[in-house]
Amino acid sequence: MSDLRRRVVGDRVVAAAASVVLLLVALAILAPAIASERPFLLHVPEAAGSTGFGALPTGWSTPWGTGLFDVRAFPSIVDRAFNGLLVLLPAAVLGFALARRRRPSVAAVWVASAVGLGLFAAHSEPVRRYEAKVEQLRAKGHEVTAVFAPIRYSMDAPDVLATQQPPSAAHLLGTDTAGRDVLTRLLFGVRISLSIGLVAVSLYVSIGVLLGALAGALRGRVDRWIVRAIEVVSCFPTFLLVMVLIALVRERSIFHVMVVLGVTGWPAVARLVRAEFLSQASRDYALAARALGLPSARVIFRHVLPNCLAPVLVVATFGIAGAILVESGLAFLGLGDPGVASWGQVLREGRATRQLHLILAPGLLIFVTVTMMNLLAEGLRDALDPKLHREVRGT
Amino acid sequence: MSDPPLLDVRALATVLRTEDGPVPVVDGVSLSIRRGETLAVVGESGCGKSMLALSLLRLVDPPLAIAGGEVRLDGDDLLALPEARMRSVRGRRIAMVFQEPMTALNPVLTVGEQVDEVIVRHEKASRREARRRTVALFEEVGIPDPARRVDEYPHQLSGGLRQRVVLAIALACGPSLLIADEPTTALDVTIQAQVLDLLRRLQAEREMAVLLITHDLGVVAEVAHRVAVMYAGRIVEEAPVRTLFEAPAHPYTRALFRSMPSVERGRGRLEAIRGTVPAPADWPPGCRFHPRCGEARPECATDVPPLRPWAERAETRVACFARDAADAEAPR
Repeated sequence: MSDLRRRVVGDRVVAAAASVVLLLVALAILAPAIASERPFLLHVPEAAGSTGFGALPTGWSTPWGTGLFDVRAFPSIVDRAFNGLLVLLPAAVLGFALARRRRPSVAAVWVASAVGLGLFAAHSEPVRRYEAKVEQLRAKGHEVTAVFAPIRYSMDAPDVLATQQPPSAAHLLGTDTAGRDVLTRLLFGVRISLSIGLVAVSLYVSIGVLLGALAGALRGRVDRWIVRAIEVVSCFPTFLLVMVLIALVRERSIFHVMVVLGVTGWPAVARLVRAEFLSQASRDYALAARALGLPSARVIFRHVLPNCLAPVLVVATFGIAGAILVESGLAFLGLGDPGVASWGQVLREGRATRQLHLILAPGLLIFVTVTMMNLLAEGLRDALDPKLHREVRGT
Repeated sequence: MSDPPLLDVRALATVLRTEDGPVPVVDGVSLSIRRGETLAVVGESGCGKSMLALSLLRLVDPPLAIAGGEVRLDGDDLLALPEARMRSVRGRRIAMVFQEPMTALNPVLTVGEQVDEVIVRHEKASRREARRRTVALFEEVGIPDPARRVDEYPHQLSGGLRQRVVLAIALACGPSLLIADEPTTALDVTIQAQVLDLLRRLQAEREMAVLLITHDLGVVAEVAHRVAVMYAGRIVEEAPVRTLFEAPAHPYTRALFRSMPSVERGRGRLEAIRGTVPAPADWPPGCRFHPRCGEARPECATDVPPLRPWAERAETRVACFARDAADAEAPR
């Protein structure tokens, strides 16, 4: 049986899952480089220049770069944070490559901060719908140079002339009720989903590890109270608890969702860390550390705690999948943040307008992401479980 | 016996607190060790010898507790020291080596870090200074290529090397007493001999006292100067190692020797001690060995025999009414 399992869900499946997850991370970081209405490079001749509000600037400009940290182009801090990664990662690599001999890490930090600061301080024009304007000028016979990203839409610019379109060459996945390109929205939705997963899970893993370690290390009365708290919180069905809490928030943002997920998810982690702590603290090395005269705080945090974290890694990976699913569910039920392009929001649109492609595309994405995350977590669990190894080899 | 002993333990008692009242685990143990001496505490599993070692370091956790007695190290009463000062005794004046080198090292820290840590803690040395001393220690305990080994993790080392690391950690701050709890049980025989040799050499070089806890009489013969035999939480016999092997006094000690294979006695069937070692909650009153003893007398079931010098061998002290009676009958 387990031999079969090893053959079916071998390392290759886990490796595939890990690559899909990595691909999603790459997509999240590269999203504006794939889809942006702002051209990388733009040249408008002086003669074509008009002075009206929202007109294209004349001369050479780089609207894409200067818009990366512009609140008007990217209203959500999630997007600007990912844009930061998009700029800083290559800049850091560049800095590292430039100064391989002399303290490369310092050089990397310098180059990265210089580029980041430059873009941050850059002035950007309050222009929307670049492509249409470029086309207009070209139609008037002006020589306009414009280098666009592969997809020339922004995730939130509405187009009243092209609402609810079916998939076409211009919009591969069609448009939604506001005429926004669905593919672009799904692409930026990767950012929302990943950051929901990461932030919510980091939050509840921190709470859970702290409380679990306290309970496991101090025992006695502290332990009893923490265990009671775990029991009380885990009594509630999580999704209902999340729904009730999120319904209490008046102006919901994506951060409320993260925090609510974070404060409801910790009991499982706390219970796990506590149990792990109790078993690890009775191992010889913990006793040996005490027998060497190390203070208890040091024994707890430097010796015992790191040995308790392997299963937490597994739970956290499962947790990211869970958080993505819960957020999609909330958004679908209308309890999400309508201001962001999350997958659940797109799905909700699709249900409201009964458009099959608006249901299938985000649904499939959610399914694939959650499945791959779970496969990855399972692979991690098996890799970290020495007992399972023996069992698999034995039978 | 003119100079005061390094470690002097009097009537040390450790109990397991249960709902039915305290159950003794270490029951009135008295022993002393002089500087540079090796005392072996011998007994079967469950006789309380490991608990005795942990009690000396005050490392017993609830529901276990030290119920009474006195532990004096160089005159300081360890049981009365505040916890903060006790911490500076552990690892610096008394160090402990654990049974399983597999589990006594922390799997997520490099072996070097684990030695550095103790030196930094107790000697207020800088990290760099600590690392230099760690490498020197590794050299001293016979770890080949110490400068590279310090950066390895426990799972990268063999069992013998790991036990050497454990020894290096214990020796890091030059303790005057080393407690070794079954230091060689988990090792295979050739490595066992190497580690015992090392232990003996280090002890001679450093004039360190060693409290060796073991159930292996072969190990005892190899390294110990004196032996204390423990049964069910009490010391039943104490003697210099030669005397004990030549003339064991207590019926339990004799039974232990009879249950060991020996070259002289040839290939006969080995004799087992009848019955089993009772759990602490079932320890009988009087002499704890009397239900399994061939020489038991009526008073053995009711009174506790005190440790007394044996007439036949003055350097042996034994707790047995049968020996006392034989001594009384024997012509002086």
